[in-house]
Amino acid sequence: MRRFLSVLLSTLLLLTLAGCDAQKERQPITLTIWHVYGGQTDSPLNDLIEEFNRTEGKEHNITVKVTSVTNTNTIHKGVLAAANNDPGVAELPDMFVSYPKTVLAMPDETVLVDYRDYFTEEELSAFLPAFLEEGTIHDRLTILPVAKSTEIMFINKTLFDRFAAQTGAKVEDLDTWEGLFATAARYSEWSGGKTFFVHDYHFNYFQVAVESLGESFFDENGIAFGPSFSKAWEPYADAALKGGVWLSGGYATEPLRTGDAVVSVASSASVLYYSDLVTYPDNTSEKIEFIARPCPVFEGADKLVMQRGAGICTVKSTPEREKAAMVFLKWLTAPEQNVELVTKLGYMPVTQEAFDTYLPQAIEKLADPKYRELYRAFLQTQEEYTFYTAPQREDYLSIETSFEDEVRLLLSAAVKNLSSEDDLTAAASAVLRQLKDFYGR
Amino acid sequence: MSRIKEIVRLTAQIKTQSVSMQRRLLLYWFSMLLAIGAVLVLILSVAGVFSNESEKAHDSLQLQLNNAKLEISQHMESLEAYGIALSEQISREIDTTLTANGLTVDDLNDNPELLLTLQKNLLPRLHTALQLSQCSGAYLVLNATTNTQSDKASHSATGLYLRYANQQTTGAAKQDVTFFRGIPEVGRAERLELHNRWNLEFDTDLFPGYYAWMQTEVGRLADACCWTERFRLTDTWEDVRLLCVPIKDNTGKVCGLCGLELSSLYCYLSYPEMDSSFGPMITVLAPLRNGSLYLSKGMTGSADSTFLAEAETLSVRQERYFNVYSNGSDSYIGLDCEVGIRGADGNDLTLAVMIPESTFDASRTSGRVLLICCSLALAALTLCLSVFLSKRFVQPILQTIQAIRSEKVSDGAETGISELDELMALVCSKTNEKLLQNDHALPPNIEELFQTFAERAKTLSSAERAILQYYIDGHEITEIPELAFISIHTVKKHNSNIYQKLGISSRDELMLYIDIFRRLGRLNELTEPVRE
Repeated sequence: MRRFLSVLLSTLLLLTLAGCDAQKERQPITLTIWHVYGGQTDSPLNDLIEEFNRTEGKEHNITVKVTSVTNTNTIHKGVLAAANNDPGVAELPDMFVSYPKTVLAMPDETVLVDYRDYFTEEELSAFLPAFLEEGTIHDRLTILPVAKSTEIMFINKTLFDRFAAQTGAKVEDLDTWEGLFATAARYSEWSGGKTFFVHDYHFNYFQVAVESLGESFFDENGIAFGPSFSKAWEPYADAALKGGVWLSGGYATEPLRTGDAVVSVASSASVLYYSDLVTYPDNTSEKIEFIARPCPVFEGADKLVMQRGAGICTVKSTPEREKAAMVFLKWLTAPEQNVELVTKLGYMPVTQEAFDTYLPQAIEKLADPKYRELYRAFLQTQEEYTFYTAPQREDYLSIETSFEDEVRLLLSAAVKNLSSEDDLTAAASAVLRQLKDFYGR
Repeated sequence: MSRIKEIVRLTAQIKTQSVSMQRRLLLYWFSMLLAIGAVLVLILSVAGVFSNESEKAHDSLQLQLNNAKLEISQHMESLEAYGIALSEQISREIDTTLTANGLTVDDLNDNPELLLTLQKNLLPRLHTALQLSQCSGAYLVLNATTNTQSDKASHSATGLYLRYANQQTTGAAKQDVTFFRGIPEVGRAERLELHNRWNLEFDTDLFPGYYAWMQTEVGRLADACCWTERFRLTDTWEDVRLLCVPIKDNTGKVCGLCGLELSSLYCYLSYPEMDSSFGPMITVLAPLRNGSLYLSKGMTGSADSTFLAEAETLSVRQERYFNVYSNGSDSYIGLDCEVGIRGADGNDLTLAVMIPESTFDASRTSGRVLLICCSLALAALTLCLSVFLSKRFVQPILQTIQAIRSEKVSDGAETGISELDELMALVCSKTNEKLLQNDHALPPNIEELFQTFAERAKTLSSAERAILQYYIDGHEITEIPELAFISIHTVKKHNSNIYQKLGISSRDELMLYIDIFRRLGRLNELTEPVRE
């Protein structure tokens, strides 16, 4: 009788547990993500996430929920605030898009998953090694490359042609920084003080320019401010003081949308944010044509260009949630999905197979001329340029932030206080002195 | 009938059958422990442990509904209050700006400088309203355009629209604001980032109910304000509902709209699903029309642990304890109520709190399985305990029986049970006696002789038996007449009969037999009364 009872009870217990497990299995795991792929616009990644939720996600009972689509700066602030437990901020999501600078600035980066714990060596070998290296911080692969970009020059051809028709300016002039800044100064004079050129990150301009001129931009104390820095400074400051360079904040796409600038150097991914329509202050709109060219370089300097493109970090939680995140990320970085994503966003894929097999076909199928232009310039860049990756310094972010603010502020103030009699070269030198003073150099 | 008779017969037969003490005891123990279990179950029932799961789910849902109603009502009321205050501030600002320039609202058309001034003055008010309110955006739109000659002038209206770049519900202090609509110079002056899909003016064709509002005569603002249905904000990835509060000019005519925005993401973050013993509880605020709840036109709190999609329409079926909301494939149990939030069509929105039916069923089933398992475990435990106790109880008896069977009974053996010890003592003495008897056994022929004599003694009449008793008691023949109140002749006659019946010839022979029977301890065989 005892044996019978024990068998009966064990069976009942097993059935109960099996019932609980079945229920648990049916409940979906919802992962939250903050990303930048689309900003506030219709997001291609959101579309891809919906596809994942409908297919692979449904199969594994995983739902990915986008709780923020913004830019890396906003995510950066949000992540650091959440990681520092600042009052009144949201909790970290399960996944977020980040540059290494954000991870380096986190108080404890071990809250992030090391992807080597979840990806096999074979799976990781599919990625381009340089991208993995960029995502490895303190020997832990915490940033999984999803899409990579570089800096590309975008030109509002419609406005430029109008300017060129009267001044004889040529698009080829913009291939060098010297030519670009001279054209910017010329445009400003021609247009009565309007801006010609906008750069997403002035800091990137100086960093790549100095490195391409054969000097190191950084030293142990921060920015080196060597002779090459001065060489990069002079044409830039001259154009800025003449009003040809955009010194307000925000991304480079802003003044191009409003017709306040003609040329930008920005991430290739900014293609999503350029509109074919420019809206002027009188509420009239004009359809414009965009062309893209590789980033300008200094004459005689190495063809160096900044590699950009953040990756995805996964916040440690439970093994089930972490595994679910890996299912999503492996799906997202699979060549087919990856190429579908990057070609809608203006990025490059992250695996060799995607580059070799899927990307050429995808580029051929691009219908939007803006995107075709971009990928033409992208491929040319890849062929002719060397990619520069920013160093992993603990103080990188603080230097970048202060430099961006200070350069724009000092030059804006100089422009405001400049009179027609002032010597521009002396004014530019004065601003540079102020900048060096700010950094105590 | 015959079957019942058969059962009664069998029952009676069982009753007459001998049942072992252990079995009886087992039955008693089992009955007693089951009775205790029954009392326990009764107490737990009275305490509400086994009460109806549906009723309990109803109570949980009702509690959550009440809490959600209070929270949402307060939230919406505060937004409406901020919206009305914003409208009044804008009206005053327009009035001040226009009066200072000697203009009317119509003069805002084709007047970019005036619009720039007005927007610069209005932006701080809008920004403040956004930061003070728990919402995802704030806007104002005026029925005027920068350029009446532009192609889109017929569906373009000037205004300002601010939205949070990184939506949070915990406070506005750390949130970046993007400049979605308005003159860029105004936003840049405040260091606001242009939205990725910025535009100078509003496209009024895409603004729900805009033209109707401009034709409406408005009395009290509090009576007029209402919420639009959910719609996709053009070129963005978000769905929103807008609070619409009319802006009146100094003649009382509607010259624009202002209000606050609640995005679907904001609602997702603001109203998280709540855990309950029956599964996750989801909060939904949506129009309920003709027995259907239109989630696609409302807002849904987070539903991470369910398969509920925001774009669904759920049919509603009333049941005893709660409603069942179904989209055809998945069902949810829940309760709903109106919360006094007016939609654009004049009808109130419905607040619903729901739990996936699957998790509710699973919870109910697991409760039942647990109860059954516990009951079975209790029964098994009771049975085991009964077996153990009855075995323990019967063990000494069985040992005693075994001892008796193996004739190893000893006088000093103790079982720990007094009755058994007494029984053992009795059995022991009887055994000894028997052994003693066995020691004094007569040869068979002599035994036969005595048995014959004893048998013959049984043939004596009562009077003869009385005379024999006198002899056994040691009286002489001469003493008997006086003792028995009879004559000596009668005694002699009885003597004669006694001798004849016993097959003896003299008193001496009789006394010899009596003496031998006494010595053998078998006198009772001579004096036992005859069974008639």
